[in-house]
Amino acid sequence: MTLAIRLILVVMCVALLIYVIRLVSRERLLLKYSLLWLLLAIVTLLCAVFPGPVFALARLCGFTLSSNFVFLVGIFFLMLVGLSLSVIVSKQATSIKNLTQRLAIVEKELLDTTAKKH
Amino acid sequence: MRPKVLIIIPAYNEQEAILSTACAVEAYGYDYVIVNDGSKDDTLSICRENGLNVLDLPQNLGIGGAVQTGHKYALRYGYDIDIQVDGDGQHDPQYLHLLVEEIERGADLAIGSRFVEESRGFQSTALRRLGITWFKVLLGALTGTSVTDATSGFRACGRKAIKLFSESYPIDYPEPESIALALKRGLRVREVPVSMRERQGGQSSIGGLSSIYFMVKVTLAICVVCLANGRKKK
Repeated sequence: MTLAIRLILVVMCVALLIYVIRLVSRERLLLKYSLLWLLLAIVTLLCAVFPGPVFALARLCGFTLSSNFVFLVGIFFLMLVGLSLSVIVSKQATSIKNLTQRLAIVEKELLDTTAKKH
Repeated sequence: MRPKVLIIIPAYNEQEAILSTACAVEAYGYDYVIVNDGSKDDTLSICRENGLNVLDLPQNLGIGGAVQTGHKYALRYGYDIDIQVDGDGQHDPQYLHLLVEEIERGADLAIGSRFVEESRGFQSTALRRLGITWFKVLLGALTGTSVTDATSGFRACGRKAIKLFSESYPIDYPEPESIALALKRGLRVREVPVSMRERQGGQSSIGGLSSIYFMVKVTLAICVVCLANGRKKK
């Protein structure tokens, strides 16, 4: 991994960290959903700053280019983030469904009560 | 004492058949509730103008979400039995008492089947019958119970099934999957011979390419339900 690649990685990760923290502090991103992003940025940052163990691990796994190993770790995290988004969407779909059903039942009760009064 | 029975009529764009379906059910002396699943046609205004008992979902949830609303309504108002009757007029209310009697005899979920005993009435197309046979084989292999008409939407639920389906009910193509769920939770599922008519209006939710999605999705869903609930079986 050349110094240039390491520098680019460091800059990108620091920028990502700052952006995620700002989103959380402005309440545009919930802290619990930011954790995976923060972890992704920190792990990649560590890889760029301390490449020694990464080189060793990459060679052990048979990577000829150790930057490929870093990218692979990054992609793995992105897949985790993607999956967690699907989980969140599913949870919200269920909540919206339950709310819709409750709304219909309560609205009917309301209409029935007002109809009785008149 | 006679059980309190609620007829659930899910309706999505059923303006042609909804009034006659509701009137037919009422003529047999049952309480009913129509669940308007965000229809884009005049289903809701027809219901309101004629003073029909209607729950209006503010957005489309799919057939499972609509039917589950009916189960929740039945649970809230303390009904002993609820029966799903599709809004398109396929299900003949003259068979309702057969389903009620089956629940009274101790079943938790009674399914109106076109294929028990002799064949009568509308039997659907050959391709659909093939699909229904596949579900019969699959459910038989995974639950040990034979269900000849797993896709039938003409079904009655006792209190246990109403409670279970209020908590957990699939969103799309719910019938075969919910049978697997009921069986795995130890509910008694029985079939009652009925005959069905061809739909009087509206569109089937299944056809063309989506039928492949339907088969794959439902098969997968049944397998997942059986895996997830496998150890709870006594």
